[in-house]
Amino acid sequence: MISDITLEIALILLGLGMLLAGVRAYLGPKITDRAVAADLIFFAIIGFIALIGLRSDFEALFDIILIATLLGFMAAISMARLGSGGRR
Amino acid sequence: MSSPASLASWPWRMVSFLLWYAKAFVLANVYVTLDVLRPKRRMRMSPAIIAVPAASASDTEWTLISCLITLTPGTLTLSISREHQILYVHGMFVDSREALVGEIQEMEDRMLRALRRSPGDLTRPTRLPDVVPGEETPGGEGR
Amino acid sequence: MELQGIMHGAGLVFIFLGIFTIIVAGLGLFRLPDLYLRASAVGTSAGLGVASIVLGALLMDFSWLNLLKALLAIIAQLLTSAVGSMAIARSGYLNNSRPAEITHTDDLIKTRRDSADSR
Repeated sequence: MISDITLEIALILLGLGMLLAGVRAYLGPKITDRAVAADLIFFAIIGFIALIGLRSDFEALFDIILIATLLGFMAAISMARLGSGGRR
Repeated sequence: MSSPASLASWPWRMVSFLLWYAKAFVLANVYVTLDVLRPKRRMRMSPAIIAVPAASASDTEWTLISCLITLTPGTLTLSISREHQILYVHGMFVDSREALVGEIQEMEDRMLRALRRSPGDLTRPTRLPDVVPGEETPGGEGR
Repeated sequence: MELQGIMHGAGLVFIFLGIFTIIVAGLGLFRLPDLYLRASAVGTSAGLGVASIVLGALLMDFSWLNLLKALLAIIAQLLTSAVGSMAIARSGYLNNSRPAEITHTDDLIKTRRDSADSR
């Protein structure tokens, strides 16, 4: 479906974005800065799933993407709870 | 209440709101992306947190308007006060208070007209109430 | 065959647009001064970035069932990312992440109990 070289370029670029977010998550002065960076890492992971799923012609690709978006929401909410120490 | 005519035009109002929102969404994405890529001296952002009077009434409307505001990059709902009818919005490009308030209220007007079968009450509090720090919110401190 | 070629090309364009958005948001994490602006920058990749990657994947692997799933995924992503970034920004405010210096107006600070001794 997608040629090898395109896939590699796309994966490297996504990895670059992920690296930027990773450094911010490492530096982040507060836990909420880390949470925002982790959110971005998660979106990059959805990109990885989509690209690798396209490459391997995976049947359930879109089911996985659908579940992944919902899981990311859970992660964001729990990080927000963690950041505010239980206050809403 | 809702006349047949307004009921018939409901789907159209919905679709036209969605198209308008899609356009605003893409434009906001372009603005934010451009500003991130711009050299530091020429960055055009002037962030502010503004209290925007709102006309929403039901739970659905409050939830939707704050989600729509947050979904548009560059504006972010930080908090709402239902008793004072206020949305606290963090904006990325706020030249003046009126500009952001106008922008948010236009979006809300369009959303309410699309959502309600008849437009109903679109009045907003004109004067900002003097909000004083309230009692500690239930939920307690650091658990 | 012709149509498939066009859809393949458009899919690639959408995928790379999404990747570009994610990289720009990553840069934004460093170039923007405070939590709220960073959350706005990440908002671009949460909405447009993920949506266009999913759309690109759909165009490259099209079927009607996939269309339905992809639409559901995009809608779920848009709604949940909005709620997620709202929750994170709010928890940042409760956790005393002060807006950066260039923030010229802050109405919310008046409602804080400790507003007297901050700033």
